[in-house]
Amino acid sequence: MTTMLPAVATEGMRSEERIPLSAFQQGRAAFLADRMAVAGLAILVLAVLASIFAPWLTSYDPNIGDTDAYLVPPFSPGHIFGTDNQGRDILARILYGGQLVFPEAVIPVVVASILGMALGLIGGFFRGVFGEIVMRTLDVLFAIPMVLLAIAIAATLGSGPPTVIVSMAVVITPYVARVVATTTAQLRNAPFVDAARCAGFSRWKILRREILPHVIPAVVVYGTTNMGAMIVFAAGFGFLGLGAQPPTADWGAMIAGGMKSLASAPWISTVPGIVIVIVAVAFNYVGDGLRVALDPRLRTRR
Amino acid sequence: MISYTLKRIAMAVPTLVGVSLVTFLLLRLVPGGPVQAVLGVASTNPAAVAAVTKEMGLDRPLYEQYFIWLGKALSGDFGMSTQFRVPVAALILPKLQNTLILTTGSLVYAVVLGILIGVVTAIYHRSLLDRALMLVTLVGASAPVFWVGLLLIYLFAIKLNWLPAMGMSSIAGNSGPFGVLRYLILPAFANSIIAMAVIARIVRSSMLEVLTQPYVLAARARGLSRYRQVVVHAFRNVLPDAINITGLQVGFLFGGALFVEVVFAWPGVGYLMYSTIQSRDYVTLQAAILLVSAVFVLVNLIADVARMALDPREARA
Repeated sequence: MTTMLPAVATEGMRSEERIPLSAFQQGRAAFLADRMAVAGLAILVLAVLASIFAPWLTSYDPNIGDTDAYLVPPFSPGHIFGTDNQGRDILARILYGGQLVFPEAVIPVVVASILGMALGLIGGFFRGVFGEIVMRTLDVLFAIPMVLLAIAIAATLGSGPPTVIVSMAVVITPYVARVVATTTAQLRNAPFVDAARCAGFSRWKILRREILPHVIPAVVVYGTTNMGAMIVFAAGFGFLGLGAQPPTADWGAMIAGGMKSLASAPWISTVPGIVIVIVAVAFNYVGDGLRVALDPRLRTRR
Repeated sequence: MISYTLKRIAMAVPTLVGVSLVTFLLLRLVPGGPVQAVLGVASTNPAAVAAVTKEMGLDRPLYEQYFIWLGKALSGDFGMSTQFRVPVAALILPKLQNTLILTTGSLVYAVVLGILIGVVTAIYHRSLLDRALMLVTLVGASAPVFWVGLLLIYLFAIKLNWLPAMGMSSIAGNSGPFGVLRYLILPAFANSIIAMAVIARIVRSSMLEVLTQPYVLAARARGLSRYRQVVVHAFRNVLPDAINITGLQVGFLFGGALFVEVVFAWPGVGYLMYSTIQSRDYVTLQAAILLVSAVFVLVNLIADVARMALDPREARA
């Protein structure tokens, strides 16, 4: 990330008063100044750590219920979030469920970011037939409602977390590619790119040295901001029964599992939903913070 | 204007061809191949396999298979549902109508409330109301639709007993088209929230920008009321942005409808798709995706033309 801001960014400050900060330090300062982003990051770090260390944080088995403790309401001793209709501790299922939901949301975004970046760079930079083919193919994928396409792919491939990851990656890729293609198309005739051309850089070198450093922050921000939606998306697969199969804990499947006892035990569906909302909102704030931190123009406006 | 409309229609054709290709290939993803997909799970009968192979042209090259399938689809033949043993077209069309009722309802909520929130937050920019409404829309947009649906059912159907929790009355039934509205209120609202939040955000930022323009300042200088400045003068130039984002949201409304239909047992295409997941009725799934996408392409076409009609600057460009 340090390559995106030249050292002259601190120009205008009198150097005898302040030591110029590096781009990374400036970005970090901007991020830390955004209280909501810091709070969001703290929540996410806690949530991920809690999922990883679930076995140490709870003594309950997430998949095997206690036959003496069906439908225990929340805030009961021993079961802070209550138990479900099989006597399973909901907190334990949330913690273990995170081990599934976080990778299900993060891996597709990472895969789609890489694929989308490659396609978007080609589509945005090369004006020839090849770029045109890439862009028109993306247009077609936009014409199919994203969620429906993902679910259709998952339904044909058969359920399970790998399927969820593959189908999500496929449908997110065009969106990343569009962001990259737009950024690239705006930059391809920028003065510094023309300068690089005049200097005799090859097209590949221009892409790598001049364009890519501008595209990466855009992709990082786009991915982080949408990660909340991806958590919801991954939960949606679980809700439809396309994710991990029972009895494995999965946030979306937990919501579906509580549907039948909604009137008598509303917490079974409610609690996982609240967790999803908190995590999704946290991702949104972190994304917003990163957007400001990674964009020198937004940063100086503050 | 007319030439733009024609050009835009011409652009929709290759998109539709692409969509049909993707949905065609979808059936090829099925483990066991299209024969299994078309015959259903229990198909070891060699005569049946041979018949399907011949009918779908599976012994011919892939592109010929595509044209055979496309030709049938264009004449309204989407094959037989393996789950219900009826022609898919007869099965889907009534469901598609119900889904369109649901998404239209959601669209009304999303547009009306989204624009209202966007305009109000722009006028009271940086006030407590602005911050509160933006937070509410962010939380609403971050919540899974199926979860919001369940909360609405719990509150309004189970606790307050105001509205029905499930199903839908027939439009032709004795309660008439207005009877459907009672069933529509909750699911349409649940499905609208994300689109509403997105529209509110776009309208807000567009309005903030328009409000600083000289002509709005001139309207204020002429002593026009705040209402006239905002609603008559500024809003007109927010509309193209609002229409643009609304058109894009329709796709997400179709996606959300799937979950909402499952939660509220709404007899639409989404609920049908959900049942095809369990029964592995791939033929129906394929037709559902194709038809919904075609509707989506059409909606975007209309949105683009409407935006053009409202914004002469773009029409000239």
